[in-house]
Amino acid sequence: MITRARVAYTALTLAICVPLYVLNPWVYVLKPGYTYAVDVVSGRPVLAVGVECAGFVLPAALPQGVRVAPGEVLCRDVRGREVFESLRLYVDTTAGVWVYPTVAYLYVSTSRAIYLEVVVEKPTRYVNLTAVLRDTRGRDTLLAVSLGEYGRYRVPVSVGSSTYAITLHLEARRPARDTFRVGIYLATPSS
Amino acid sequence: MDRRALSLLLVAVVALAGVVNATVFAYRWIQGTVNISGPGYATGAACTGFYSSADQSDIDLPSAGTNYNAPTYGTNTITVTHGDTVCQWTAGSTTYRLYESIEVTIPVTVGSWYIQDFYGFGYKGDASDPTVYVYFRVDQAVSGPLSEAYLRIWKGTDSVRLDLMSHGATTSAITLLPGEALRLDLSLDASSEGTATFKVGVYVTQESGEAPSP
Repeated sequence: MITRARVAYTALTLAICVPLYVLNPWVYVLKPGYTYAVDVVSGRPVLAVGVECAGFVLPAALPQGVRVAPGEVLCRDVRGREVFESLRLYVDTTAGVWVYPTVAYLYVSTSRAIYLEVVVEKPTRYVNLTAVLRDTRGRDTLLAVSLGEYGRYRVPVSVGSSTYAITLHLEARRPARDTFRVGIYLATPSS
Repeated sequence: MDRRALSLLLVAVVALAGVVNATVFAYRWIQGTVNISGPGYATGAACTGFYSSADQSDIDLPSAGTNYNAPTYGTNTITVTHGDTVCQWTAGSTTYRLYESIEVTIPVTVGSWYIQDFYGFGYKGDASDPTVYVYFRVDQAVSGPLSEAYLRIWKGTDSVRLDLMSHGATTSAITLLPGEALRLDLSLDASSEGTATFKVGVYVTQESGEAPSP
């Protein structure tokens, strides 16, 4: 029997649970290593995303005018360097065209074929900025991401460890202060 | 079902949904802040650019670009239009400027031509400023009726030659100390009538040995 009191209680429970549900993925996905999901039928954990180690590695020396504040350390790459979950990047310069070679490396080590989705979440408004991802093994350009507009770029990553150098191409015509944010999503190909 | 069981069930369902949802992506991010200052604040590699000491007399850099408006044949002259100012400073009441780019039009007739010192490329700075390294690269090879075209870059009495017919050709690093400059010559052989265009990129860095990547 549904009483007035019970209805009110149920609604309250939902209101508390919903924010939990929204927050939960953020806490969960930032963990390094394997990500497991519970198989609904057997109740046993199954491997969902086999990203053993993925994140940003700092170069030995940064280009002039670039400062980087890394976030949490997640793991270490094959060469023993720290792999960071996030980067805060600061570029100080004057008007003109600038190329900043290798401001950071993107490192992905995986036991399964996955894809990388680069999403421009907050584009720049005043400066023209392009991030170029280049494979450090073959020097091939993997991706050129225009950071001046919202966008979504998807590229496959093969099994093993890959290191991509991130180069910034900057073009600014007049004094300005600008910000951008890029999200990198790693996922197994959807079936 | 009592209240506690119902609420527990709700939490369990929502938590499971959360876990399943979370397993799809691992997420990493970069947040960037870019600060652009005006040309008056440019130092080091930022204070390098094109200039003509004939156009901006008394500029505190070596004599270069003396033929920026020289006649070539008849009433035809070399014309140079420049891009944005990347570095500027004031001496007395005069403001001097270094430009990011130049576009040069040189009217010639069929045959071989040598255009001497049509523009300069300088580095303004104090003795405490770092050494910079300059690379000239053919970003767009000559298109048009030229059978031969070279850019000759002079620093004092030394020079290097850049083949403008070959896309991607790059000079070795040219070292510039503050107050030094380069003079630019062009040698070409026009086989027939028409318009030839090309684009040369100038890459300046404060780090030695790092040539521009393609």
